[in-house]
Amino acid sequence: MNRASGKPVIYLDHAATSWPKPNSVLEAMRHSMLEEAANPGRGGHRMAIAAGRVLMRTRMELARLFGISNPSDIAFMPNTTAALNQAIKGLLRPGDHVIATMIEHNSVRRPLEYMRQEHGVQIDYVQVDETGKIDLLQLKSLCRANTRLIVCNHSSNLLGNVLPLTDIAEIARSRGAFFLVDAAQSAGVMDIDVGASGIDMLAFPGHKGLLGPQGTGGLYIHPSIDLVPLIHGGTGSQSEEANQPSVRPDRYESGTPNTVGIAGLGAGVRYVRSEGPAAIGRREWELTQSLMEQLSSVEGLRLLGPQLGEPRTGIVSFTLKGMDSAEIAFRLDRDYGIAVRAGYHCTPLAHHSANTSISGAVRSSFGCTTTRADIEALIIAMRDIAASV
Amino acid sequence: MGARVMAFDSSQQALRAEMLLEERDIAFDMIPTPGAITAGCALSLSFSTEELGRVMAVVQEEHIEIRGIFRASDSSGEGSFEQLV
Repeated sequence: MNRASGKPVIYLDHAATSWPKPNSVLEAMRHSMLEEAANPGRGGHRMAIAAGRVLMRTRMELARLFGISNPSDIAFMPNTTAALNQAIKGLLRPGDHVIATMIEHNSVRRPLEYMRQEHGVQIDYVQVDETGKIDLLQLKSLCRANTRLIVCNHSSNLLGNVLPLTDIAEIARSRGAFFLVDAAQSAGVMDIDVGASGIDMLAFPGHKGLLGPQGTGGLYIHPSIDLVPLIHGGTGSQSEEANQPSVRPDRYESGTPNTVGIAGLGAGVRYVRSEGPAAIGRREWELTQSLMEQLSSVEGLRLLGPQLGEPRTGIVSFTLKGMDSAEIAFRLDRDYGIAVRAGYHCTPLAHHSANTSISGAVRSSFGCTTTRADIEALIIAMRDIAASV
Repeated sequence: MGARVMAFDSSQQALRAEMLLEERDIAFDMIPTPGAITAGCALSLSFSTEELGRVMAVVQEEHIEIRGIFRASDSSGEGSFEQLV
């Protein structure tokens, strides 16, 4: 149990952002702000160099976490959305074809739809079943000669199901398409190895499973891919040149970076690596199973996503017959001090697939600080609320 | 320290090289990039002639992007530079 605004809070909204962060993250940010938060790459004085080292150390931690051989292939971004925009808009050209899935977040869907409307890009969305399972045969059949990109999330932010990245990567490779993965819900809670999984680009948040602060994230770009930078400007390098530098990571990192945030992210990644993403994910999965077992007996409550026993990230979404999801979330917060998210979760297509387009859903989501007591509190609250319908 | 100067187009590439050379116990100094070397980054690493082979191995194995490795054409180190790599 944690406290915010003087009232006890049971925080079950880790899929939106993780909270609280490890003390080491706060300490790293405090140290950075107090001692070395000059502008990295701008000037050769010792504080600027120290700030630059913070960025490089965090990059190296991320490279080790994701099996990336060259840390310079990781560009820091303010969030996953920015990373996905850079990947999608930087790669696609008029006439290109893209395949995404029906469970993409708006951070993928909206850039794609923009590229369709403004730049003549063609898009197909692969169907999924009610639990989020992707139709791989349909994915294969949708591939065309001009398919340049296949993009999907690793785990749905509504359903929590896990997509078969290796299978999708193989389809992309065999058809000559690049493979972009949105790891918003999996980075830090599942093992990800870009080489072993055949991932060409990986967009990830710093502030969710990697336990860094908001305003951090990144994009891995395979060395064979040259994206048009979305942001042009000062990089502290090749200043005499009018054109954006080609050297990485500068090419994709114009403007002053979030040095203090990236210091915190580095500490978060070190924490995750010391615990092990798979071990963290396993604990969260066990919590989902306990919650699902108990909630399945609540009258009128419908659980979304994979069945008991199947893989999922630390997300359990549900609906309750006769009550709007926003009302449930409001009562959980007001009467029980439980923070969850309700509504459409920026993923309207996934709601369509799950048949929850009208009701929306309540999403509870777990992190490495979530306890069994937190889960018990949610179970008791939902029994109460269901009894009141 | 040295008779060789490695220059970069990116400070992040320079700082990565710094960390990798430290890890491998290769002696070097971080210096301001000499004005005679046109490079995109204000930081360079200098090292002795004897370390050139080991430094080159790190650069190649770790895919560090460098502007080049130079040697001073005169003994003062402040005049013109000849690009070796």
